[in-house]
Amino acid sequence: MRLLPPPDVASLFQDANVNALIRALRYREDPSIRAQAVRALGRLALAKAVPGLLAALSDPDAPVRRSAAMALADIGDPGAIEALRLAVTDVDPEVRAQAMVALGILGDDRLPEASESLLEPDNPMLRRLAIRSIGQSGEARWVPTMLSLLDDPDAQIRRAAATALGLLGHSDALSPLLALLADQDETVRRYAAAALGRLGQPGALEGLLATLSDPVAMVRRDAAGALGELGDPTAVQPLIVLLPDPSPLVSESAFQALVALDKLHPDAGLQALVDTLGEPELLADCPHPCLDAVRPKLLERVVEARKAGAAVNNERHRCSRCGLDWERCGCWT
Amino acid sequence: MSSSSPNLVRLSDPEVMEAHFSYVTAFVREVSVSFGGEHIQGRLVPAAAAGLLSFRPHAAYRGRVVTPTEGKRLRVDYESSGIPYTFRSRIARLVDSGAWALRRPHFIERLDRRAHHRHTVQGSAAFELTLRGCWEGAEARAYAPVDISAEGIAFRFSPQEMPIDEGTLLGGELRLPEVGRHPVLLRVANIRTPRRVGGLPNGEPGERIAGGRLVDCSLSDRRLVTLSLSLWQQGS
Repeated sequence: MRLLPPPDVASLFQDANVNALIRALRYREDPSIRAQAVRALGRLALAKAVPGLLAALSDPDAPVRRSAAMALADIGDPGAIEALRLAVTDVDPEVRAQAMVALGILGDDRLPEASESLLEPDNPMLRRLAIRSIGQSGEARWVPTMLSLLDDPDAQIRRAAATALGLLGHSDALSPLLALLADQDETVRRYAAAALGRLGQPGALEGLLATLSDPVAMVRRDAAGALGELGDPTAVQPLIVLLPDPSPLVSESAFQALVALDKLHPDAGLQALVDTLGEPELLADCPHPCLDAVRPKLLERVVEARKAGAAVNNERHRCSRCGLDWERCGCWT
Repeated sequence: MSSSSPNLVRLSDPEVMEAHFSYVTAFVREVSVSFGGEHIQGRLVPAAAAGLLSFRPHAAYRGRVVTPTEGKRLRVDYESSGIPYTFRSRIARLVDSGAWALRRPHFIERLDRRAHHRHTVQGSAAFELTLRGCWEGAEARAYAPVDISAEGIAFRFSPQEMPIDEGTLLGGELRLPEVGRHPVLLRVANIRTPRRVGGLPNGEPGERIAGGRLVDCSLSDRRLVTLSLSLWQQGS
Protein backbone atom coordinates (compact mmCIF):
# COMPACT_ATOMS: atom_id res chain seq x y z
CA MET A 1 0.00 0.00 0.00
CA ARG A 2 1.36 3.39 -0.99
CA LEU A 3 1.67 5.93 1.85
CA LEU A 4 0.27 9.34 1.08
CA PRO A 5 2.66 12.27 1.62
CA PRO A 6 1.78 14.46 4.63
CA PRO A 7 -0.45 17.41 3.77
CA ASP A 8 1.33 20.74 3.34
CA VAL A 9 -0.75 22.63 5.90
CA ALA A 10 0.95 25.98 5.31
CA SER A 11 0.06 25.90 1.62
CA LEU A 12 -3.46 24.70 2.33
CA PHE A 13 -3.88 27.61 4.72
CA GLN A 14 -2.55 30.12 2.21
CA ASP A 15 -4.96 28.77 -0.38
CA ALA A 16 -7.75 28.76 2.22
CA ASN A 17 -8.39 25.14 1.21
CA VAL A 18 -10.79 24.38 4.04
CA ASN A 19 -11.86 20.96 2.77
CA ALA A 20 -8.28 19.74 2.54
CA LEU A 21 -7.50 21.16 6.00
CA ILE A 22 -10.49 19.29 7.42
CA ARG A 23 -9.18 16.12 5.79
CA ALA A 24 -5.77 16.83 7.37
CA LEU A 25 -7.43 16.59 10.80
CA ARG A 26 -7.65 12.85 10.11
CA TYR A 27 -4.00 12.40 9.17
CA ARG A 28 -3.17 9.61 11.63
CA GLU A 29 0.56 9.34 11.03
CA ASP A 30 1.60 12.67 12.55
CA PRO A 31 -0.22 14.51 15.35
CA SER A 32 1.77 17.68 14.65
CA ILE A 33 0.15 17.84 11.20
CA ARG A 34 -3.28 17.53 12.82
CA ALA A 35 -2.42 20.27 15.33
CA GLN A 36 -1.23 22.55 12.51
CA ALA A 37 -4.44 21.91 10.59
CA VAL A 38 -6.50 22.74 13.67
CA ARG A 39 -4.68 26.05 14.13
CA ALA A 40 -5.03 26.88 10.45
CA LEU A 41 -8.77 26.26 10.59
CA GLY A 42 -9.01 28.45 13.69
CA ARG A 43 -7.25 31.26 11.84
CA LEU A 44 -9.51 30.94 8.84
CA ALA A 45 -12.44 31.15 11.27
CA LEU A 46 -15.06 29.52 9.07
CA ALA A 47 -18.13 27.84 10.53
CA LYS A 48 -17.68 24.99 8.08
CA ALA A 49 -14.71 23.79 10.15
CA VAL A 50 -16.64 23.50 13.42
CA PRO A 51 -17.70 19.80 13.13
CA GLY A 52 -14.12 18.77 12.37
CA LEU A 53 -12.78 20.82 15.26
CA LEU A 54 -15.36 19.39 17.66
CA ALA A 55 -14.16 15.94 16.67
CA ALA A 56 -10.57 17.10 17.25
CA LEU A 57 -11.48 17.75 20.90
CA SER A 58 -11.42 13.93 21.24
CA ASP A 59 -8.11 13.50 19.40
CA PRO A 60 -5.71 11.10 21.21
CA ASP A 61 -2.99 13.78 21.14
CA ALA A 62 -3.26 16.51 23.81
CA PRO A 63 -1.74 19.36 21.72
CA VAL A 64 -4.39 18.69 19.04
CA ARG A 65 -7.19 18.88 21.63
CA ARG A 66 -5.64 22.02 23.13
CA SER A 67 -5.48 23.75 19.76
CA ALA A 68 -9.01 22.63 18.93
CA ALA A 69 -10.38 24.33 22.06
CA MET A 70 -8.84 27.66 21.11
CA ALA A 71 -9.71 27.32 17.41
CA LEU A 72 -13.35 26.87 18.40
CA ALA A 73 -13.11 30.04 20.49
CA ASP A 74 -11.56 31.88 17.51
CA ILE A 75 -14.45 30.83 15.29
CA GLY A 76 -16.90 31.93 17.98
CA ASP A 77 -19.64 29.37 17.34
CA PRO A 78 -21.74 29.01 20.53
CA GLY A 79 -22.58 25.49 19.33
CA ALA A 80 -19.15 24.51 20.64
CA ILE A 81 -19.99 25.34 24.26
CA GLU A 82 -21.29 21.90 25.29
CA ALA A 83 -18.24 20.12 23.90
CA LEU A 84 -15.92 22.62 25.56
CA ARG A 85 -17.64 22.07 28.89
CA LEU A 86 -16.70 18.39 28.57
CA ALA A 87 -13.14 19.40 27.67
CA VAL A 88 -12.84 21.11 31.06
CA THR A 89 -12.59 17.58 32.50
CA ASP A 90 -9.85 16.51 30.07
CA VAL A 91 -6.97 14.55 31.59
CA ASP A 92 -4.47 17.09 30.26
CA PRO A 93 -4.24 20.29 32.35
CA GLU A 94 -3.43 22.46 29.34
CA VAL A 95 -6.53 21.23 27.52
CA ARG A 96 -8.58 22.04 30.63
CA ALA A 97 -7.07 25.52 30.76
CA GLN A 98 -7.68 26.21 27.07
CA ALA A 99 -11.25 24.96 27.36
CA MET A 100 -11.93 27.30 30.30
CA VAL A 101 -10.49 30.28 28.46
CA ALA A 102 -12.43 29.34 25.33
CA LEU A 103 -15.68 29.16 27.31
CA GLY A 104 -14.95 32.61 28.72
CA ILE A 105 -14.39 33.99 25.20
CA LEU A 106 -17.59 32.37 23.93
CA GLY A 107 -19.48 34.04 26.79
CA ASP A 108 -20.56 30.87 28.54
CA ASP A 109 -21.93 31.98 31.88
CA ARG A 110 -22.80 28.54 33.26
CA LEU A 111 -19.82 27.35 35.18
CA PRO A 112 -18.87 23.77 34.43
CA GLU A 113 -19.23 21.86 37.69
CA ALA A 114 -15.79 20.44 37.07
CA SER A 115 -14.28 23.86 37.73
CA GLU A 116 -14.75 23.26 41.44
CA SER A 117 -12.15 20.51 41.36
CA LEU A 118 -9.76 22.88 39.59
CA LEU A 119 -9.73 25.11 42.66
CA GLU A 120 -7.47 22.60 44.37
CA PRO A 121 -4.07 24.10 44.95
CA ASP A 122 -1.86 21.78 42.90
CA ASN A 123 -1.90 23.95 39.77
CA PRO A 124 -1.89 27.71 40.45
CA MET A 125 -2.73 28.72 36.90
CA LEU A 126 -5.71 26.39 36.63
CA ARG A 127 -6.92 27.72 39.97
CA ARG A 128 -6.80 31.28 38.68
CA LEU A 129 -8.66 30.35 35.52
CA ALA A 130 -11.29 28.49 37.52
CA ILE A 131 -11.79 31.50 39.79
CA ARG A 132 -12.19 33.65 36.72
CA SER A 133 -14.86 31.29 35.39
CA ILE A 134 -16.64 31.47 38.72
CA GLY A 135 -16.72 35.27 38.56
CA GLN A 136 -18.10 35.15 35.02
CA SER A 137 -20.79 32.69 36.09
CA GLY A 138 -22.40 35.32 38.36
CA GLU A 139 -23.71 32.50 40.59
CA ALA A 140 -24.08 33.67 44.20
CA ARG A 141 -23.55 30.16 45.58
CA TRP A 142 -19.83 30.62 44.94
CA VAL A 143 -19.51 33.63 47.27
CA PRO A 144 -18.43 31.62 50.36
CA THR A 145 -15.79 29.75 48.32
CA MET A 146 -14.41 32.98 46.95
CA LEU A 147 -14.40 34.60 50.39
CA SER A 148 -12.35 31.69 51.71
CA LEU A 149 -9.73 32.36 49.02
CA LEU A 150 -9.15 35.96 50.15
CA ASP A 151 -6.72 34.55 52.76
CA ASP A 152 -4.80 32.45 50.26
CA PRO A 153 -1.01 32.82 50.57
CA ASP A 154 -0.76 33.35 46.78
CA ALA A 155 -1.40 37.03 45.98
CA GLN A 156 -2.55 36.15 42.47
CA ILE A 157 -5.29 33.95 43.93
CA ARG A 158 -6.40 36.68 46.37
CA ARG A 159 -6.49 39.14 43.47
CA ALA A 160 -8.51 36.77 41.27
CA ALA A 161 -10.94 36.02 44.10
CA ALA A 162 -11.45 39.74 44.76
CA THR A 163 -12.27 40.30 41.09
CA ALA A 164 -14.67 37.35 41.11
CA LEU A 165 -16.43 38.73 44.20
CA GLY A 166 -16.89 42.07 42.45
CA LEU A 167 -18.52 40.23 39.53
CA LEU A 168 -20.68 38.01 41.75
CA GLY A 169 -22.03 41.19 43.32
CA HIS A 170 -23.07 39.93 46.76
CA SER A 171 -23.18 42.28 49.75
CA ASP A 172 -21.44 39.66 51.94
CA ALA A 173 -18.26 40.54 50.09
CA LEU A 174 -18.19 44.17 51.25
CA SER A 175 -16.32 43.84 54.57
CA PRO A 176 -13.78 41.26 53.35
CA LEU A 177 -13.01 43.38 50.29
CA LEU A 178 -12.59 46.48 52.44
CA ALA A 179 -10.13 44.54 54.59
CA LEU A 180 -8.25 43.64 51.42
CA LEU A 181 -7.57 47.35 50.76
CA ALA A 182 -4.82 46.93 53.39
CA ASP A 183 -3.31 43.82 51.77
CA GLN A 184 0.47 43.82 51.64
CA ASP A 185 0.42 43.16 47.88
CA GLU A 186 -0.27 46.27 45.81
CA THR A 187 -2.03 44.39 43.00
CA VAL A 188 -4.42 42.83 45.51
CA ARG A 189 -5.26 46.31 46.85
CA ARG A 190 -5.84 47.51 43.27
CA TYR A 191 -8.20 44.69 42.39
CA ALA A 192 -10.00 44.95 45.73
CA ALA A 193 -10.67 48.64 45.04
CA ALA A 194 -11.93 47.88 41.54
CA ALA A 195 -14.14 45.08 42.89
CA LEU A 196 -15.64 47.45 45.48
CA GLY A 197 -16.53 49.86 42.69
CA ARG A 198 -18.24 47.07 40.77
CA LEU A 199 -20.02 45.86 43.91
CA GLY A 200 -21.57 49.31 44.24
CA GLN A 201 -22.26 49.17 47.98
CA PRO A 202 -22.44 52.61 49.67
CA GLY A 203 -20.49 51.15 52.61
CA ALA A 204 -17.37 51.10 50.44
CA LEU A 205 -17.14 54.90 50.30
CA GLU A 206 -14.98 55.55 53.37
CA GLY A 207 -12.53 52.77 52.58
CA LEU A 208 -12.12 53.91 49.00
CA LEU A 209 -11.65 57.54 50.01
CA ALA A 210 -8.90 56.48 52.41
CA THR A 211 -7.30 54.45 49.60
CA LEU A 212 -6.87 57.63 47.54
CA SER A 213 -3.76 58.23 49.65
CA ASP A 214 -2.26 54.77 49.10
CA PRO A 215 1.50 55.04 48.44
CA VAL A 216 1.15 53.08 45.16
CA ALA A 217 -0.11 55.15 42.24
CA MET A 218 -2.09 52.36 40.58
CA VAL A 219 -3.98 51.68 43.81
CA ARG A 220 -4.94 55.36 43.95
CA ARG A 221 -5.95 55.16 40.29
CA ASP A 222 -8.23 52.16 40.76
CA ALA A 223 -9.72 53.63 43.94
CA ALA A 224 -10.56 56.80 42.01
CA GLY A 225 -12.16 54.72 39.26
CA ALA A 226 -14.16 52.80 41.85
CA LEU A 227 -15.42 56.05 43.38
CA GLY A 228 -16.64 57.09 39.94
CA GLU A 229 -18.54 53.79 39.69
CA LEU A 230 -19.91 54.12 43.22
CA GLY A 231 -21.47 57.44 42.26
CA ASP A 232 -21.49 59.18 45.66
CA PRO A 233 -21.03 62.97 45.25
CA THR A 234 -19.09 63.04 48.55
CA ALA A 235 -16.13 61.87 46.47
CA VAL A 236 -16.03 65.01 44.32
CA GLN A 237 -13.75 67.09 46.52
CA PRO A 238 -11.23 64.29 47.26
CA LEU A 239 -11.12 63.46 43.54
CA ILE A 240 -10.40 67.09 42.65
CA VAL A 241 -7.56 67.07 45.16
CA LEU A 242 -6.23 63.95 43.43
CA LEU A 243 -6.11 65.60 39.99
CA PRO A 244 -2.54 66.93 40.28
CA ASP A 245 -1.24 63.52 41.35
CA PRO A 246 2.37 62.88 40.28
CA SER A 247 1.16 59.96 38.14
CA PRO A 248 -0.69 60.99 34.96
CA LEU A 249 -2.59 57.70 35.11
CA VAL A 250 -4.03 58.72 38.49
CA SER A 251 -4.87 62.22 37.19
CA GLU A 252 -6.69 60.74 34.23
CA SER A 253 -8.63 58.28 36.38
CA ALA A 254 -9.67 61.05 38.81
CA PHE A 255 -10.79 63.13 35.84
CA GLN A 256 -12.84 60.25 34.40
CA ALA A 257 -14.39 59.60 37.81
CA LEU A 258 -15.40 63.28 38.03
CA VAL A 259 -16.96 63.02 34.58
CA ALA A 260 -18.92 59.95 35.74
CA LEU A 261 -20.08 61.73 38.91
CA ASP A 262 -21.09 64.74 36.87
CA LYS A 263 -23.34 62.55 34.72
CA LEU A 264 -24.96 61.06 37.82
CA HIS A 265 -25.28 64.39 39.67
CA PRO A 266 -25.66 67.21 37.16
CA ASP A 267 -26.72 69.51 40.00
CA ALA A 268 -23.42 69.12 41.87
CA GLY A 269 -21.91 72.12 40.05
CA LEU A 270 -19.26 70.03 38.36
CA GLN A 271 -20.05 70.83 34.75
CA ALA A 272 -17.84 73.91 34.57
CA LEU A 273 -14.96 71.99 36.08
CA VAL A 274 -15.37 69.02 33.75
CA ASP A 275 -15.68 71.27 30.70
CA THR A 276 -12.56 73.11 31.72
CA LEU A 277 -10.56 69.96 32.28
CA GLY A 278 -11.62 68.77 28.85
CA GLU A 279 -9.87 71.87 27.45
CA PRO A 280 -6.68 72.15 29.50
CA GLU A 281 -5.68 75.47 27.96
CA LEU A 282 -8.77 77.02 29.54
CA LEU A 283 -7.71 76.03 33.05
CA ALA A 284 -6.29 79.43 33.77
CA ASP A 285 -9.77 80.93 33.54
CA CYS A 286 -11.64 78.20 35.42
CA PRO A 287 -13.78 79.80 38.11
CA HIS A 288 -14.09 76.68 40.25
CA PRO A 289 -12.62 77.50 43.71
CA CYS A 290 -11.56 73.91 44.32
CA LEU A 291 -8.94 74.34 41.64
CA ASP A 292 -7.07 77.25 43.21
CA ALA A 293 -4.75 75.11 45.30
CA VAL A 294 -3.96 72.64 42.58
CA ARG A 295 -4.10 74.67 39.39
CA PRO A 296 -0.40 74.76 38.36
CA LYS A 297 0.30 71.06 38.81
CA LEU A 298 -3.10 70.14 37.46
CA LEU A 299 -2.48 71.83 34.16
CA GLU A 300 0.81 70.05 33.72
CA ARG A 301 -0.59 66.63 34.62
CA VAL A 302 -3.75 66.80 32.58
CA VAL A 303 -1.82 67.90 29.52
CA GLU A 304 0.60 65.01 30.02
CA ALA A 305 -2.18 62.44 30.42
CA ARG A 306 -4.04 63.77 27.38
CA LYS A 307 -0.87 63.69 25.27
CA ALA A 308 -0.40 60.03 26.17
CA GLY A 309 -4.01 59.32 25.26
CA ALA A 310 -3.75 61.17 21.98
CA ALA A 311 -0.68 59.22 20.95
CA VAL A 312 -2.78 56.06 21.05
CA ASN A 313 -5.27 57.03 18.33
CA ASN A 314 -3.53 59.31 15.87
CA GLU A 315 -2.46 57.05 12.99
CA ARG A 316 -5.65 56.16 11.18
CA HIS A 317 -5.92 58.98 8.67
CA ARG A 318 -2.33 59.22 7.54
CA CYS A 319 -0.82 57.20 4.71
CA SER A 320 1.60 54.73 6.23
CA ARG A 321 3.99 55.16 3.30
CA CYS A 322 4.31 58.94 2.77
CA GLY A 323 2.78 60.31 5.97
CA LEU A 324 0.31 62.60 4.17
CA ASP A 325 -3.43 62.49 4.63
CA TRP A 326 -4.32 59.46 2.49
CA GLU A 327 -6.92 61.40 0.54
CA ARG A 328 -4.10 63.57 -0.83
CA CYS A 329 -1.28 61.08 -1.31
CA GLY A 330 -0.59 59.20 -4.55
CA CYS A 331 0.79 55.97 -3.13
CA TRP A 332 -2.18 53.68 -3.48
CA THR A 333 -3.40 53.63 -7.04
CA MET B 1 4.84 40.31 1.20
CA SER B 2 7.02 43.13 2.33
CA SER B 3 7.35 44.64 5.75
CA SER B 4 7.94 48.37 5.64
CA SER B 5 7.77 49.39 9.29
CA PRO B 6 7.74 47.57 12.58
CA ASN B 7 4.01 48.05 13.01
CA LEU B 8 2.75 47.29 9.54
CA VAL B 9 2.79 44.44 7.05
CA ARG B 10 2.22 45.36 3.43
CA LEU B 11 1.21 42.90 0.72
CA SER B 12 2.63 44.16 -2.55
CA ASP B 13 3.78 41.10 -4.50
CA PRO B 14 1.32 40.80 -7.46
CA GLU B 15 0.96 37.03 -7.03
CA VAL B 16 0.34 37.31 -3.30
CA MET B 17 -2.20 40.07 -3.92
CA GLU B 18 -3.92 37.99 -6.59
CA ALA B 19 -4.21 35.03 -4.20
CA HIS B 20 -5.38 37.34 -1.44
CA PHE B 21 -8.12 38.91 -3.57
CA SER B 22 -9.22 35.46 -4.76
CA TYR B 23 -9.63 34.50 -1.15
CA VAL B 24 -11.39 37.74 -0.20
CA THR B 25 -13.88 37.59 -3.05
CA ALA B 26 -14.67 33.97 -2.19
CA PHE B 27 -14.78 34.02 1.58
CA VAL B 28 -15.00 37.50 3.10
CA ARG B 29 -18.67 38.22 3.47
CA GLU B 30 -18.46 41.89 4.28
CA VAL B 31 -16.14 44.77 3.54
CA SER B 32 -16.61 48.40 4.50
CA VAL B 33 -16.02 51.16 1.96
CA SER B 34 -15.48 54.72 3.19
CA PHE B 35 -15.45 57.95 1.19
CA GLY B 36 -16.37 61.51 2.09
CA GLY B 37 -17.84 60.60 5.48
CA GLU B 38 -19.95 57.74 4.06
CA HIS B 39 -19.45 54.13 5.22
CA ILE B 40 -21.04 51.45 3.11
CA GLN B 41 -20.99 47.70 3.66
CA GLY B 42 -20.93 45.22 0.84
CA ARG B 43 -18.85 42.50 -0.79
CA LEU B 44 -15.85 42.46 -3.06
CA VAL B 45 -16.61 40.33 -6.11
CA PRO B 46 -14.43 39.34 -9.06
CA ALA B 47 -14.40 41.92 -11.86
CA ALA B 48 -14.74 41.06 -15.49
CA ALA B 49 -11.90 43.36 -16.58
CA ALA B 50 -8.26 42.80 -15.70
CA GLY B 51 -6.77 45.21 -13.21
CA LEU B 52 -10.10 45.91 -11.54
CA LEU B 53 -12.08 44.71 -8.54
CA SER B 54 -15.79 45.05 -8.05
CA PHE B 55 -17.54 46.26 -4.94
CA ARG B 56 -21.21 45.40 -4.62
CA PRO B 57 -23.00 47.32 -1.84
CA HIS B 58 -25.38 45.29 0.28
CA ALA B 59 -28.95 45.58 -0.96
CA ALA B 60 -29.96 47.73 1.99
CA TYR B 61 -27.65 50.52 0.79
CA ARG B 62 -28.62 50.59 -2.86
CA GLY B 63 -30.33 53.80 -3.73
CA ARG B 64 -30.02 55.09 -0.19
CA VAL B 65 -26.55 56.58 -0.15
CA VAL B 66 -24.76 59.16 -2.19
CA THR B 67 -23.19 57.27 -5.06
CA PRO B 68 -19.64 58.46 -5.61
CA THR B 69 -18.46 59.72 -8.93
CA GLU B 70 -15.90 58.00 -11.10
CA GLY B 71 -12.37 58.72 -9.94
CA LYS B 72 -13.44 59.17 -6.33
CA ARG B 73 -10.91 57.92 -3.79
CA LEU B 74 -12.14 55.47 -1.23
CA ARG B 75 -10.90 53.23 1.49
CA VAL B 76 -11.77 49.53 1.83
CA ASP B 77 -11.58 47.77 5.21
CA TYR B 78 -12.28 44.16 6.03
CA GLU B 79 -11.23 41.35 8.32
CA SER B 80 -9.95 37.91 7.54
CA SER B 81 -9.26 35.42 10.33
CA GLY B 82 -9.72 38.23 12.82
CA ILE B 83 -6.94 40.26 11.17
CA PRO B 84 -7.91 43.67 9.78
CA TYR B 85 -6.84 44.57 6.24
CA THR B 86 -7.17 47.82 4.37
CA PHE B 87 -6.44 49.23 0.96
CA ARG B 88 -7.20 52.48 -0.80
CA SER B 89 -8.51 52.67 -4.31
CA ARG B 90 -10.36 54.82 -6.83
CA ILE B 91 -13.60 54.18 -8.62
CA ALA B 92 -12.79 53.24 -12.21
CA ARG B 93 -16.40 53.22 -13.30
CA LEU B 94 -19.91 52.64 -12.03
CA VAL B 95 -21.48 49.50 -13.46
CA ASP B 96 -25.15 49.28 -14.44
CA SER B 97 -25.72 46.34 -12.10
CA GLY B 98 -25.08 48.61 -9.12
CA ALA B 99 -21.52 47.40 -8.58
CA TRP B 100 -18.57 49.77 -8.52
CA ALA B 101 -15.48 48.81 -10.48
CA LEU B 102 -12.42 49.68 -8.39
CA ARG B 103 -8.84 50.04 -9.50
CA ARG B 104 -6.55 47.41 -8.05
CA PRO B 105 -4.30 48.98 -5.44
CA HIS B 106 -0.54 48.76 -5.53
CA PHE B 107 -0.60 47.19 -2.09
CA ILE B 108 -2.78 46.00 0.75
CA GLU B 109 -2.00 46.58 4.40
CA ARG B 110 -2.42 44.10 7.19
CA LEU B 111 -3.32 46.27 10.10
CA ASP B 112 -3.01 43.94 13.05
CA ARG B 113 0.33 45.32 13.99
CA ARG B 114 -0.42 48.90 13.10
CA ALA B 115 -3.59 48.94 15.16
CA HIS B 116 -1.47 48.18 18.20
CA HIS B 117 1.97 49.66 17.73
CA ARG B 118 4.66 47.34 19.05
CA HIS B 119 7.17 49.09 21.28
CA THR B 120 10.62 47.57 21.33
CA VAL B 121 11.51 47.23 24.99
CA GLN B 122 14.42 44.83 24.76
CA GLY B 123 17.14 45.73 27.21
CA SER B 124 15.01 48.15 29.19
CA ALA B 125 14.96 47.48 32.92
CA ALA B 126 11.54 49.15 33.10
CA PHE B 127 9.81 45.99 31.86
CA GLU B 128 9.75 42.58 33.52
CA LEU B 129 7.74 39.53 32.56
CA THR B 130 7.03 36.55 34.81
CA LEU B 131 5.01 33.68 33.39
CA ARG B 132 3.85 30.24 34.38
CA GLY B 133 2.39 27.48 32.22
CA CYS B 134 -0.44 25.19 33.26
CA TRP B 135 1.28 21.86 32.70
CA GLU B 136 1.97 19.68 35.75
CA GLY B 137 4.83 21.06 37.82
CA ALA B 138 5.04 24.35 35.92
CA GLU B 139 6.99 27.01 37.81
CA ALA B 140 6.86 30.78 37.43
CA ARG B 141 9.85 32.06 35.46
CA ALA B 142 11.17 35.45 34.42
CA TYR B 143 11.46 36.14 30.68
CA ALA B 144 13.07 39.00 28.77
CA PRO B 145 10.38 40.90 26.86
CA VAL B 146 11.38 41.92 23.32
CA ASP B 147 8.43 44.03 22.29
CA ILE B 148 5.06 44.88 23.79
CA SER B 149 1.80 46.21 22.43
CA ALA B 150 -1.78 46.32 23.62
CA GLU B 151 -2.25 43.17 21.57
CA GLY B 152 0.56 41.04 22.95
CA ILE B 153 4.10 40.49 24.12
CA ALA B 154 7.10 38.93 22.41
CA PHE B 155 9.70 37.43 24.72
CA ARG B 156 12.85 35.31 24.63
CA PHE B 157 12.90 31.76 25.92
CA SER B 158 15.01 28.65 25.74
CA PRO B 159 13.16 25.60 24.32
CA GLN B 160 15.47 23.35 26.34
CA GLU B 161 14.17 24.87 29.54
CA MET B 162 10.52 25.53 28.71
CA PRO B 163 8.11 23.36 26.69
CA ILE B 164 6.51 26.33 24.96
CA ASP B 165 4.82 25.67 21.64
CA GLU B 166 2.33 27.48 19.41
CA GLY B 167 -0.93 27.60 21.30
CA THR B 168 0.60 27.28 24.78
CA LEU B 169 -1.27 29.27 27.40
CA LEU B 170 0.85 31.22 29.90
CA GLY B 171 -0.28 33.38 32.80
CA GLY B 172 1.62 35.75 35.00
CA GLU B 173 2.56 39.37 35.47
CA LEU B 174 4.07 42.10 33.35
CA ARG B 175 5.79 44.99 35.10
CA LEU B 176 5.15 48.21 33.20
CA PRO B 177 6.38 51.78 33.77
CA GLU B 178 3.90 53.90 35.76
CA VAL B 179 1.69 50.80 36.22
CA GLY B 180 3.81 48.32 38.12
CA ARG B 181 2.88 44.62 38.14
CA HIS B 182 -0.07 43.85 35.91
CA PRO B 183 -1.65 40.41 35.41
CA VAL B 184 -1.52 38.95 31.90
CA LEU B 185 -2.76 35.80 30.17
CA LEU B 186 -0.98 34.97 26.91
CA ARG B 187 -1.48 32.45 24.14
CA VAL B 188 1.68 31.78 22.14
CA ALA B 189 0.85 32.59 18.52
CA ASN B 190 4.24 31.94 16.93
CA ILE B 191 7.81 30.97 17.71
CA ARG B 192 10.71 32.28 15.68
CA THR B 193 14.49 32.51 15.81
CA PRO B 194 15.95 35.93 16.71
CA ARG B 195 17.42 36.10 13.19
CA ARG B 196 14.01 35.56 11.60
CA VAL B 197 12.46 38.30 13.72
CA GLY B 198 15.19 40.63 12.46
CA GLY B 199 17.09 43.42 14.18
CA LEU B 200 17.66 41.39 17.33
CA PRO B 201 20.87 40.02 18.79
CA ASN B 202 20.99 36.21 18.70
CA GLY B 203 21.25 35.85 22.47
CA GLU B 204 22.02 32.43 23.96
CA PRO B 205 22.48 29.51 21.52
CA GLY B 206 19.13 27.96 20.61
CA GLU B 207 17.15 30.82 22.09
CA ARG B 208 13.77 31.56 20.48
CA ILE B 209 11.33 34.45 20.40
CA ALA B 210 7.74 33.61 21.33
CA GLY B 211 5.02 35.97 20.12
CA GLY B 212 2.20 35.86 22.67
CA ARG B 213 -1.27 37.36 22.21
CA LEU B 214 -3.12 38.70 25.22
CA VAL B 215 -6.17 36.54 25.83
CA ASP B 216 -9.48 37.64 27.28
CA CYS B 217 -8.03 41.07 28.03
CA SER B 218 -10.45 43.93 28.65
CA LEU B 219 -10.35 47.10 26.57
CA SER B 220 -9.45 49.12 29.66
CA ASP B 221 -6.50 46.83 30.35
CA ARG B 222 -5.33 47.14 26.74
CA ARG B 223 -5.63 50.91 27.01
CA LEU B 224 -3.60 50.86 30.22
CA VAL B 225 -0.80 48.97 28.47
CA THR B 226 -0.86 51.49 25.61
CA LEU B 227 -0.79 54.46 27.94
CA SER B 228 2.10 53.03 29.90
CA LEU B 229 4.10 52.38 26.72
CA SER B 230 3.29 55.83 25.42
CA LEU B 231 4.39 57.52 28.65
CA TRP B 232 7.53 55.40 28.70
CA GLN B 233 8.37 56.41 25.14
CA GLN B 234 7.83 60.09 25.91
CA GLY B 235 10.17 59.83 28.88
CA SER B 236 12.91 57.83 27.15
